[in-house]
Amino acid sequence: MYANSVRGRTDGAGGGRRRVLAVDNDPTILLVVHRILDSEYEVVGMTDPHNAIAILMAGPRFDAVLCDFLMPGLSGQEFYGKLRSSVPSIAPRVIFITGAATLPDAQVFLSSIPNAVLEKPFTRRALRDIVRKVIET
Amino acid sequence: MIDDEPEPSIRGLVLALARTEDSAYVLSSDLRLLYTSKGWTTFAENNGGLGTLARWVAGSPIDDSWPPALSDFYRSAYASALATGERWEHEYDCSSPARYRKFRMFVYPIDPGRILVVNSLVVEMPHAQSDRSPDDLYVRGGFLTMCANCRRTLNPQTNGWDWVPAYVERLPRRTSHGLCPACVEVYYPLEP
Repeated sequence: MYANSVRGRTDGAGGGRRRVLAVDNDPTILLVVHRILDSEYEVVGMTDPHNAIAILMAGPRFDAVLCDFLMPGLSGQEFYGKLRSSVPSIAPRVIFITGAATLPDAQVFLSSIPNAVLEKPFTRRALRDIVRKVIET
Repeated sequence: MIDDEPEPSIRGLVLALARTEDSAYVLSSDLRLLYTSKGWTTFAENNGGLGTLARWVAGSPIDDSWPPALSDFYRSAYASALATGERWEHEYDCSSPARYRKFRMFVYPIDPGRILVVNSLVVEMPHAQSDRSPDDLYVRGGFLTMCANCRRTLNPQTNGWDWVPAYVERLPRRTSHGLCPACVEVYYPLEP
């Protein structure tokens, strides 16, 4: 279950549904994101942010990217920097997910970029609303 | 697990209980046992209580497990959780002659009129004081994992979720926020 990646249910035709990439080192967060969004979107979950960047660079289009801000191996800030240099078109579609009591340096960074931020624990409605807003922008 | 035919609305929760190392159980609104976790059995095994498990079947009143003097206290607390819909928490000692143990009890009201009780280890040590830092136990790869909801910390050795007061009082810099199995199933159950 979500050991490294997971692909949500598709509509069978491979098209039509908007696609969301969720990146979090905790597979339970990916499970929850999948449960909440799967009825509306095709959800792909990845626990390794390096692999997530590789997927994005490889070309499959995602309409929104949910990214945990504090992950072992690659911080959200580093993830964002790599994305801006390698796949700049997707950078505005990144929604950062943060834990409670986000560190001051993270707060400074997050307030310096225009991207949406969602705090854990989030409600179903908050997640759906923020993803819909980014996708419809 | 006591009953293998859970109601559809709590099927995900019951499946999670079958995997979790937390000592946990689901009660009916009249405080009778419906389902127990894998950790419930593990705890009994590790503490010489395996022989008493047979008496805990579906329908057993949970107040048989409480000291009589505490029965009213717990009944009132569980009823309050059901009435208000708010999670109730409480710390208690459960020591053996050889080891000091403290647990934190999380009581979640869940639909339909059920109660999930999760007993989370706060500290366990020989009665002689331990000098170990909690980081020795909980930090792996420079990070610890805390449930973003109930703030329990993942114990990588047991895969249970412990209540670590030091981390609740001061959140370490390298804290990865996840969700414990109980909070996943209580707050984000599969929608019908």
